[in-house]
Amino acid sequence: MNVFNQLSRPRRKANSDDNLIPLINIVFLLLIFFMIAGKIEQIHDAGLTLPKNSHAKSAITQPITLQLSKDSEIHLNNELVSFDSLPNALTNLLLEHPANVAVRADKHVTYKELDKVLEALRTAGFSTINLFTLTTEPS
Amino acid sequence: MSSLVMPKRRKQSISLTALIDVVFILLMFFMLTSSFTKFSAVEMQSSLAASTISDTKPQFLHLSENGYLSAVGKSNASANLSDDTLGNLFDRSLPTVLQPAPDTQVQAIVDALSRMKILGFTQVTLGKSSASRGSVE
Repeated sequence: MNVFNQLSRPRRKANSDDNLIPLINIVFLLLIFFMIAGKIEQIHDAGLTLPKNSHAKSAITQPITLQLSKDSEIHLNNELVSFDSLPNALTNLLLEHPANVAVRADKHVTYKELDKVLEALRTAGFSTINLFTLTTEPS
Repeated sequence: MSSLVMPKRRKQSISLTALIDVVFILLMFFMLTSSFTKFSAVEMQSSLAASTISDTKPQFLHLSENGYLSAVGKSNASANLSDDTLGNLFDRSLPTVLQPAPDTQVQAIVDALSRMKILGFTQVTLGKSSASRGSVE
């Protein structure tokens, strides 16, 4: 027994922190995953369900975003605007930004409603309209 | 003299609790703020821009509520055009105006726009809605 004690390595004094090392490893891995894979962005979607699409190109954030909900509520750059005040608000924004606009319309909105908004955009002078969709994997 | 000499500090291990606190807070922050949703966009020219691109007469396509594409002003077109028929009946390089029915939902419009983009139609715009086939506004 005495010989065995001499041959074995001296034991390190057990530390209570040692039990936490696997936990820290996992937490660090999770942290790195969320830091790399996630994207921090502010989304005010106003309860929208965007249409799905698997073939469209990736969206580029536009300086002007117009949201159209299924209740026909219009949000221009996250501010609720009425349909009557939309042309004025668009004209003011067009003076500040280039002529591209992102339209985020709920997938249940009918063309009757969308056309009114598109007409206002055309009248204001926007040349390119990006209709935003959610990317799905191609089947 | 020896009492003035600073006592030798014992090597102390750093507690990990504070580190874990900070890492947990960072983890919570990134978990709550990160988004994994990917957005894409279907780009279309508004009729304002399309009219300035060329003076050639555009071709018209009608999109029904159930997502069927049909030709406007072409007698030999069926109610739901297949990809091949679309390619044969229409010139892909010409400006094309898609005219959805008033009650067509945005999902059907997006599907039709992306289908036309895949088929090679380069200048697609959304026109005024047409209630029935054959009416051009």
